[in-house]
Amino acid sequence: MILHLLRSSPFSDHSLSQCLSRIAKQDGIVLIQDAVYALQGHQQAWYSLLMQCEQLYVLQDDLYARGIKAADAICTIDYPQLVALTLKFDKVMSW
Amino acid sequence: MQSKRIAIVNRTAPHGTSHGQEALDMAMVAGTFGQEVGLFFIDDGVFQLVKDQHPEAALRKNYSKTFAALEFYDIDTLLVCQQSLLSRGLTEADLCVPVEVLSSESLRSALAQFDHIVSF
Amino acid sequence: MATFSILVTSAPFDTQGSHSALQFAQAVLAQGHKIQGIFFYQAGVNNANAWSQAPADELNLPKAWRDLQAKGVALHVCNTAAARRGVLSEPESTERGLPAHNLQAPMQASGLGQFIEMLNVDRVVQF
Repeated sequence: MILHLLRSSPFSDHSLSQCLSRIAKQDGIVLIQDAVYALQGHQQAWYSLLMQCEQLYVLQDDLYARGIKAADAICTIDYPQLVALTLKFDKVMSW
Repeated sequence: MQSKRIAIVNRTAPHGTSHGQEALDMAMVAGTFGQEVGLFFIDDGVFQLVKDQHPEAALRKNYSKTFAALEFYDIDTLLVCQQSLLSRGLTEADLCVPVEVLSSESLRSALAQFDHIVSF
Repeated sequence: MATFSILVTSAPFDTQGSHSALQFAQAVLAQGHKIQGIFFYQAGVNNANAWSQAPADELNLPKAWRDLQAKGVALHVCNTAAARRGVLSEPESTERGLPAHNLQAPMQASGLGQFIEMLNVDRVVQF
């Protein structure tokens, strides 16, 4: 079980798609920094794949910082919850 | 205490940025310290291994020669993503050292065997 | 209680990585976990440049790192990566005949070997 920490905007590089193409069902994804813009990707090919991720989390502080809002169905977390998540999963990979 | 295994994942191409060079520096030190190291090459990271590189022409250091010396650092796990090679017009024959080419799925299971993952 | 090591490879100010690392580290400590150390590598070594100055209305990142160190978190900097980027400890600076140094306590000039020794923790998180 790997927790994937995504940091860059999926509109400017391919990290998110590259992560999604390799992810296992039990893995988790956390969107932080510019990766939170992924929530604006409704029109994008990778968006449905992202929404299929059963353990998708978005860092609330980074959303709020950017004026981006998450739909109710999206699980937003704070830093203490991010710390807890890194322990829930076996290891963390940053993209 | 049991020594932790570290996966060093190369995701970027050489020379344009210093990521590959500093990833390799870390791998060699880890090897010197007797740490079990796995070097992964995915996405643009597969370009790190292309043979016949001449970075001197671009005033960059030719560290690609070091890949062949990794066995002296007890690093023999070089895992390359098959899909990344294919989509970049490369085959195993284009690479400078013998590697293990794995499907995305096998690569992920291989990655899961390591305790920690750092990426460059 | 769990143990963490944090690897900072992104440039301060130019990118958000150092700020994220700081916020993560503060949350780790607040939850009663232990941070074995923070290792600055690649462009992250610029965090150790004692001469960096933030305008008064921006976060003073060097001070934030000092505060974290005061809570018992070791701050290690890869001296090779740092020297490449103009961040030099006193011995490095003296050896090269330079008039001053800008890598100083509480940042510690270390080698990559230090990071390898920091792997003996429950989690390594890279920013």
